[in-house]
Amino acid sequence: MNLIFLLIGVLFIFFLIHIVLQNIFNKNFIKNFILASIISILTLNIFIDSIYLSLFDQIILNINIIFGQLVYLIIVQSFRSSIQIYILNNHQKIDLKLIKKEELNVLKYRMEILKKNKIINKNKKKLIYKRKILLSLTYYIFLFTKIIYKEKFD
Amino acid sequence: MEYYLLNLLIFLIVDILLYRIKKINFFIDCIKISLPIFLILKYLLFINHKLELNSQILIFSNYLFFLIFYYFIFIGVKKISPTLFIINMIIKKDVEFNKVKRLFLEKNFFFSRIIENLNINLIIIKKSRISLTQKGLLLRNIIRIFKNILKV
Repeated sequence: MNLIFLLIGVLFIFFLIHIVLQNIFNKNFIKNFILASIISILTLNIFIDSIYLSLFDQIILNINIIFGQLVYLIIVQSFRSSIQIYILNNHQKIDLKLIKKEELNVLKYRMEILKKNKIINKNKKKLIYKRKILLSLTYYIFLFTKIIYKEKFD
Repeated sequence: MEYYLLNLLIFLIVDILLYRIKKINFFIDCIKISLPIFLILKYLLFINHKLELNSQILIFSNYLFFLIFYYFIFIGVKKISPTLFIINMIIKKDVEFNKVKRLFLEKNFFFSRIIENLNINLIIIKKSRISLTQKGLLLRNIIRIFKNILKV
């Protein structure tokens, strides 16, 4: 049972560190996440060294922490970019008669984010993809998973 | 450890095959079958290997974390993310913006998300306006609290 408290404790420490970092550097969400993750995992492993724990428990505890942090990342990331959450937050402004305008706004917003992060360039009328490791990796992971599960991007 | 990983791998293979044939997830859609099977297999493993209670709880919590993680990842597999849709079009070759725009608008990302919110009882539509249900209001308030704390 103590290990469960340790698991919850480390995840809570990670959450607190991420809140502090977000409040200091609020434009570096992913960097803050990675930093908070490294600090919390290091703290856990330093603490583990001081108590007796089998290798199996150490590994599974670390995997649990990583899974927990990834779930957290997906949820918080959806607060920023999910259309479903955007609808909940801005439901009063949305007029369903002007749905095409909303569809266009989604496109414009996504394009702006991609341009701001220097992921795409607009050259005359053409869009050029500037390879970024993190986004390309995400894309290929989903592409691979979609192929395995027989789903498509288009 | 290896038995647990083998168990997960077999479940994953069943999940992929089942989804490819019937469009059903073994982990999530068949949770009433997959979870009891997992528990029985783990019970046998715990008895045979005399694992401590701590390790048993950790394995079970690991499976739960895996299920939640899998659930979120699978949303991205079933649905199409607007950003990845754009990337998918331009990653292999440069494409004209107008073509991207035309195909993007054909996908009706916004409308499909409204329908999803409606189906899970988060919103109601009156005339051409959207209102939140109790569930939607509660979720929006929780999200707002976290957004304020995290400054996102």
